[in-house]
Amino acid sequence: MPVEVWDIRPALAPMVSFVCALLVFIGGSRAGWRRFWSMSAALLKFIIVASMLPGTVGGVAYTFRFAEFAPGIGIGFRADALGMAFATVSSLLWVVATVYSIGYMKGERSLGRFFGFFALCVSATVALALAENLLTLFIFYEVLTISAYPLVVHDETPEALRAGRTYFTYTLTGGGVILLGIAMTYVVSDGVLAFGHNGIVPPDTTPAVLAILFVMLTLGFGVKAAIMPLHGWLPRAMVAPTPVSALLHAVAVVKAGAFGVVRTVHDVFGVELLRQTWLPDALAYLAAFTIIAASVMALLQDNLKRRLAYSTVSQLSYVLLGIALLNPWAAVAAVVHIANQAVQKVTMFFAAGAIQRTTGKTNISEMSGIGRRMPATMGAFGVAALGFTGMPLLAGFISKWHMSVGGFDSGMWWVALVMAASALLNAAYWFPMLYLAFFKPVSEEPTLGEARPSLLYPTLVCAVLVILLGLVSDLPGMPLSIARTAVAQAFGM
Amino acid sequence: MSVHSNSLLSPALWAVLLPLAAACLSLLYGRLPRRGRFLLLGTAPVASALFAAILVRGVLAGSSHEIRLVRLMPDVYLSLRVDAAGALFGLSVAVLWSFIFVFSVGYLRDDRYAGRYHTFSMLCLAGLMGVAYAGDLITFLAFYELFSIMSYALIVHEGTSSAIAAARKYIVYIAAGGSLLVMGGALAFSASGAADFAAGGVLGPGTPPTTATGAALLLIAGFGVKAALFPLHGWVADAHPAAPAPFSAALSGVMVAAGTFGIVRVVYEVVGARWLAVLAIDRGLAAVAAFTAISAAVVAIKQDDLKRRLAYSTVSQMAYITLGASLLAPGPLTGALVHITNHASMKGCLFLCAGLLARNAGITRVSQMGGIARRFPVTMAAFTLSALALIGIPPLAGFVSKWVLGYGMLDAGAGGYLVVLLGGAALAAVYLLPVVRIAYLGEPSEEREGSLAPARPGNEAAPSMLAPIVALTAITALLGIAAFADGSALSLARLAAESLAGSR
Amino acid sequence: MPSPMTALVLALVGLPFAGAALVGVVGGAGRQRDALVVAASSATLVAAVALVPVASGVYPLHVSVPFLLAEATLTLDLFAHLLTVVVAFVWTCCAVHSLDYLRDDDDSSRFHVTALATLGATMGVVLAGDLVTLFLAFELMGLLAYLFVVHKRTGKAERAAAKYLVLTIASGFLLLAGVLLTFHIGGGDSLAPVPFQEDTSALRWLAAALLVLGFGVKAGMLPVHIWLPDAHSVAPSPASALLSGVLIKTGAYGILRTLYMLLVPAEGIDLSVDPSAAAGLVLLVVGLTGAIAGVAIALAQDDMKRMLAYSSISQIGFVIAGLGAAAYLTGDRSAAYGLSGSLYHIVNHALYKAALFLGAGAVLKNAGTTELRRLGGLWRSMPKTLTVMVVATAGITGLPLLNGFVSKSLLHHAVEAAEPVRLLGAIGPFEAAFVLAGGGTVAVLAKLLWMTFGGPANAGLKKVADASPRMLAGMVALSAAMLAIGWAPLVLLHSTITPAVQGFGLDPSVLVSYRQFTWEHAGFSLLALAMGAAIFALDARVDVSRARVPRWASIDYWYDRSIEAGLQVASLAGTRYEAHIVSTSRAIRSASASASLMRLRWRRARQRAIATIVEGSPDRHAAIVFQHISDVLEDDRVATVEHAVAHAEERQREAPACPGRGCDEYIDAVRDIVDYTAWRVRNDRIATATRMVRSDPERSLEAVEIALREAGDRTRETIIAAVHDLALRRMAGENVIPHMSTLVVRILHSEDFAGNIARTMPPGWHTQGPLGPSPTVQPDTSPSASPLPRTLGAWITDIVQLVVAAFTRERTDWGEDRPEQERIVTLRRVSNAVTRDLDLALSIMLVVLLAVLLAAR
Repeated sequence: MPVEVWDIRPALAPMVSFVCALLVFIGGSRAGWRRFWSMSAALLKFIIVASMLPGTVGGVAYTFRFAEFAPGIGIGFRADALGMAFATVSSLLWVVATVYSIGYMKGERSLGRFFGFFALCVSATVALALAENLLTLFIFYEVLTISAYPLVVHDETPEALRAGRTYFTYTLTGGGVILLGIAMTYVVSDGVLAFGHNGIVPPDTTPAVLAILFVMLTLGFGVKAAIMPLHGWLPRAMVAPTPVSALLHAVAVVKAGAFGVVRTVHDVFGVELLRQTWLPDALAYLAAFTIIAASVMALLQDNLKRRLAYSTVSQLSYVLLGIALLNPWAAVAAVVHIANQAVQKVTMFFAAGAIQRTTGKTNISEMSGIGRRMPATMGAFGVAALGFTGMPLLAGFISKWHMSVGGFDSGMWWVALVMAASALLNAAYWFPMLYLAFFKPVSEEPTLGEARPSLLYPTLVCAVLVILLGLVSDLPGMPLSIARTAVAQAFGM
Repeated sequence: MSVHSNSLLSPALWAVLLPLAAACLSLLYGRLPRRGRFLLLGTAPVASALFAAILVRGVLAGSSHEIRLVRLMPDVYLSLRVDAAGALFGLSVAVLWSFIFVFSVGYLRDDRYAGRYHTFSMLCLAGLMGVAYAGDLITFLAFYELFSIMSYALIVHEGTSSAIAAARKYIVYIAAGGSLLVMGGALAFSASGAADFAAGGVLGPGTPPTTATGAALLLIAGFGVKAALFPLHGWVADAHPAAPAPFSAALSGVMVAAGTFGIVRVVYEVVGARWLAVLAIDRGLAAVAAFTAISAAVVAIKQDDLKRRLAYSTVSQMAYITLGASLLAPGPLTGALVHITNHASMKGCLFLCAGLLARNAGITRVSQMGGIARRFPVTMAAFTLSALALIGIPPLAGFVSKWVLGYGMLDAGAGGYLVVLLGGAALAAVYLLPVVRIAYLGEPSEEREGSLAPARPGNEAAPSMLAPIVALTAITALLGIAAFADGSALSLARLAAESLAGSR
Repeated sequence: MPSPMTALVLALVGLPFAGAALVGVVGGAGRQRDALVVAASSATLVAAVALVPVASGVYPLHVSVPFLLAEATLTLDLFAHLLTVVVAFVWTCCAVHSLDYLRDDDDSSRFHVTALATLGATMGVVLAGDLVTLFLAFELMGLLAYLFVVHKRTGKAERAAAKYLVLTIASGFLLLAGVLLTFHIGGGDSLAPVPFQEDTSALRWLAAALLVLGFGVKAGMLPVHIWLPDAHSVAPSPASALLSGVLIKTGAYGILRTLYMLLVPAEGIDLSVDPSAAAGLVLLVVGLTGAIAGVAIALAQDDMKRMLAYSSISQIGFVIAGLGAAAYLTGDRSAAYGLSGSLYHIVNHALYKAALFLGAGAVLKNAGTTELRRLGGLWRSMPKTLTVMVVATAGITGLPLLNGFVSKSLLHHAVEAAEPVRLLGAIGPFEAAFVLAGGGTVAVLAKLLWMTFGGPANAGLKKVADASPRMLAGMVALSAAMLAIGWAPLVLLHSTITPAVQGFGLDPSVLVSYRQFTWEHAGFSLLALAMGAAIFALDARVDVSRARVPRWASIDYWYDRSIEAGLQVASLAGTRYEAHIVSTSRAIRSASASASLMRLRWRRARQRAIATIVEGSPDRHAAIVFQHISDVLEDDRVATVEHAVAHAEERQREAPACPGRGCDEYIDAVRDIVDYTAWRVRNDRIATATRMVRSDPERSLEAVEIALREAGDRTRETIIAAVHDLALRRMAGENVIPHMSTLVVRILHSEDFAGNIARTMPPGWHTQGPLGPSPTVQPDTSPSASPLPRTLGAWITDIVQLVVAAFTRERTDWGEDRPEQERIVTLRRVSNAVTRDLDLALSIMLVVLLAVLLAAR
């Protein structure tokens, strides 16, 4: 069990971007200020989160609680390893995404609104990552839901509005279910909602209640984690500007759902309790189904961002599958995949956005020879694609390897098969695109036309991160080490 | 076993890193000075070869070294280790690659995508060097996947429809094989908790037999795709003719061999010979390899496309290596390991000759080769010698492999496989000698005579294409004639086999 | 620093190779080169002879040099020394002879280089001190001799050479297997007998069998002799002389070594079968059969050189029979007869067969042919050649005072001693065979000499000159050697052969007491002569050469058949293998194609669904219809290109001689051209179809679709016909790229789209014309009153189909028979319902959960 230390930083981290959001709303009409606030807040926040990393790895949980409206019900923050894994990734990627979106959104309208809600989203994400109890988690989860809506509909086209509507329908319904679940948990656990004790739900709960509770919480969070068949909103939300897609798909919104499921399994029910039920198995099968089915769907897409969306659906279920296996190896895979998938997918989205901004192309079939024109961008894309196919020394391999080993360890050999199939499907939908981009014979040689630096460099930084996450993921403070700390805590090792 | 105190000083590391650096450098290919670019890029394979030679010297002197670069995961390091087998393979790769690089300079002179070719070629080299010096299964897989996937770019390089189809087929096979490998690796890791290569294997005696079977089959099948074991060889015959000739040479010479090298590692250092023998997988593997050796050689006889014929020959030759590795005794393993090196030299030269003929005379089929030896005397002389070597005619390299393999088979009590070995060699004569015969004795077609410049000394090909061919032929001869020497490939292979299979 | 002796031994092997290299460098056909050739071979001879005075005390002399796997050992013992002298001598004679013989040959330098290199290899065989070195030198010698056989490069020479090569390489692998096995059972490091161990006796038999068979191929032993007659007759005569005189003897030498290395029974080990005796009996039978068969077939030959070649088979039969007898008689004193006879015969045959072949060469060179029917009466014009050949004939037939006499009598003693049964008093079957073969030899040579030199001169052979001095010199030297040996045969026997026999562990007492001229020996010699005369007379009457034997009786026939069958098997296997590979290719290609097709359909279905479901306005209908037309045509276009390319590839594969990369370029060009054409056709059709549909928005879609598809089929046929035409032109070697543009124009013009449409559309269209105004005819196939589904079942079916379609995307049409309008409405309804129902379902779920929760409390 981690050592609890009272510290303001867990609360400070979300606060920074919240304040930034306010400042941008107020003074956001001026580009200079907007940029200044966004950038400095992003950096500051990353510094704050990073400053807690040594403690986290060393087994310290920084805690800060400041409001309690009812016994056991209050707002509180606690930076344990699991939360820090998520918070680190999202605050780091926010820095990169801010640079990128400044470049990407240049010349668009209502940028004050855009950057304000962008900051708000990140604030909510970090807050829910560091939430100390289920209620705090839920509150910021809903804040995230709502603050992401203006970003989805940013273009204000009919299509965007429709997508926003769908998004809202799905996520708010899911939120409602979660709320019910929390209420029920509250009842069942006699007023305890705080994490950190390997389970809130008492072991003597009847199986039926346990089942209902589990279904409500996992499906509620599952909506955002886009587990099939609740994934419908995600591909449609692709109408949003690319930095938003990157943030939504890779970091904030969908990961919030997956993170919620992880919290549910590890901290609401506890590994020991769930091991005696069939519930995690059901979740595992559903996740495995999603991994394969969404990959097949991705294969059918021609629009690059839609293919990315389905790929996300598939990849998110890695997290769910890993957590549902209730095996330390697989759990490490789940937690570390939150970071790995985020970085890889952000790279791809950034590349897609760069292509869209530079050439106006959104469909894969139009992208013949794009790699010759934008070698660096597509090179970064290629690195991420290879990562997704599980090439060793890249981020994705770490997840796949841990997952496979976990599968074998827990006697579920089919997990390795699912991993292999998923790797093959990933290859099947990314490699043809790389072929189109780099090797398809085109009649005339396109001149070099890379994206502008503010789009290119964040993409390259992310690609480098993909390599680093595969190569030195085990260094202290890197995702694998944090994930191992988190899992060790959850499994009581 | 000494662990290098300062890993930055390890030649193994630099043998891997330099090609990577060259790959980065060749991204700027178009901006490099026209004359200097080949010198710049060529430094990498040559330097790798030098480092590999240093490592070989070290191994012969009895030192072995191991470095751990980074910890990838708990208990899993990116680690390099130089043992005799790895040193031998590394040296073969780097030397062959140096020659291939020189050849490719001439071959790709008018190619507008030469830069792309060199980038991926250097990546492949880095991968292969990494495979040679990998200290554990994960590192091995990492570098193996690196060069496997990067090879795609080289196979598809010419962009013709057959190249595209061949490359697509290749990547499907390789991706599937890679998945099997990761599964098998994960299974072995889950059973043993360690990924390091260890003499005698990492699977302990308490491993459940099903797990051991699963791991062995998955890993062997995974490498078998690359090693072109029947029925996983489907990509070979398409990929070789489609790829540019220098890369066909590399593909056949060392890449397919990397698959067999993987099988050697799996058999002796991951699953362990003991487990294989208990599970009787060794016998199955030997049977499959024997069948592959003969059937592929039979098929090669009727191929008209020269590179395709050579590709089937590769399938057949690689099966010898697998066969030698699967007999679980030092003798045949020595033969297998030395054949990796010998085959690289012989087949590399044959493919380079085929490439030279294709590029300078537009000849890709055996039936078009009538009388070509008069126009390409040096090339065909090299081709003939390499072909004779491949058949196993003494005193060239191939004979050494056949002798050591055959001798080892008898020693290992598997003398029955001599029939396969010698039958395959006889079939090699049947599919290679007609090529030579046609080239020297066949009637040239009038059309071709008209289109080719008349034969004059120095008119045959650019020196950069001819020199590697001649050099490889010389090496083939040397590998045979000087096999007795201390420090020869054979002595190194003996050392390797002793350490791999000796401590059974 | 090697001792002078060592240096000389190495020089025996090294000098010829050095000479070969020098000749290769000097090249040309000048005097310098000729001098070099002679110098190199005679230097070898000098080196061999130089070893005589100093050598006698130091036998055996071992020299090893590091080579190949470990080291190569050369061992000079008495017998090896004799052989080196003989080999070098024969070689020098042949070299001198060949200078004139090959004067007009463009490739003479290659011949000389080959000859010198082969001399080096042969020296290696003779001197080899261990089995690996023996094998290596033997292989090298065999492969170099290929260049002898193929030298003339005529079709006949190539066929003979191919056969030679096949058998040489096959024998090489048999030998390799045998050598490996020998090493396995503990021998091979020297040529000394391998000690017996009981557990290895089976392997030992196998090794011996492999080695004997492998060496037997080169020796021309009976069942594997088939390369010999062809090769000897096509090679240049000096080469034939070397092949017959020396090279096949090395095979016999190999058999000898095998016997005394592997099959010597050991002291104190009790074996149920005496290996030596068993092998000896087999060899004796094989040898004698060869001896008889050789002369019998030789008699039937029509060509001097073939005749001599078969005679060589017969003579090698004698040698093998002698070896067999010696082995059979192991332990008996008479064994020494067999071994010494064989060794002696090896030396003798080298001399006289070389002389005979050189003589045949002189005839060929000066008379222009070796066909016996075209020769005759040359005694007048070529007396010197005749003289030499008569001496050689006297030698080979074993007449007294010539060298063959002694070796034959020794062999005769051996065969006699080995006789298992005696019939008719003294003579047994072996002896009878031996005498018969001797008689046959006389008959063959008599026939050869008579038909070449005797009788009336053949027309066209009047102005034949005799052999040139240099050609004659070689032959005379050989004859002189024969006469010398014949004059004092016991010198050679006692100085060299007896010690050699002793060296093999045999009791030489019979040889010491051997007397050359006894009445018995002379009697048998005369008996052979008499039998020869009788056979010759009989042959002159019957003319055996006209005899016809069935094809299957010839071993060559079976050889050819098995090679053919092997190639057929290879071809079949290749097809099977390729089928496996092609099918995987096809599977991968079709998987990738269907993925893109699925992607296309999915996108289309989505567009349609979005358009209908979300917007739902009636105006959309037209847009959907146009989209549909466009999609159908896109399908068509893709299919057309695929078809044409597949067709082009197929044609290309059939084309026998297609220049490499051209194939792909051709197919790519076809792809581009067809793509362009089809694109143009497609755009035209969309325009037409759009106008057609505008004129009748409600009814026409399916009809239009059918029409479009059929029109598409026709286009495809047109294009494929054109591609076929192109492929034919290409196979004929034309450059087709210019034709391709004509192809485009032709298709674009011949595309009778209006006509195609008109054929498929209802009559109303026809009268109006495809581009005419809207027809007024209402279709009678319109759906009945309500477009909405009336039953719950239909509604559920739709949902299921929608869900299935959402996941599979295989089906894009919901019901083939349902009209478009109804489909659209249903779709709209279903999708709205699904969207609504999802919310509903979630709400219901919540309510249920709440209820459960309450109940649980």
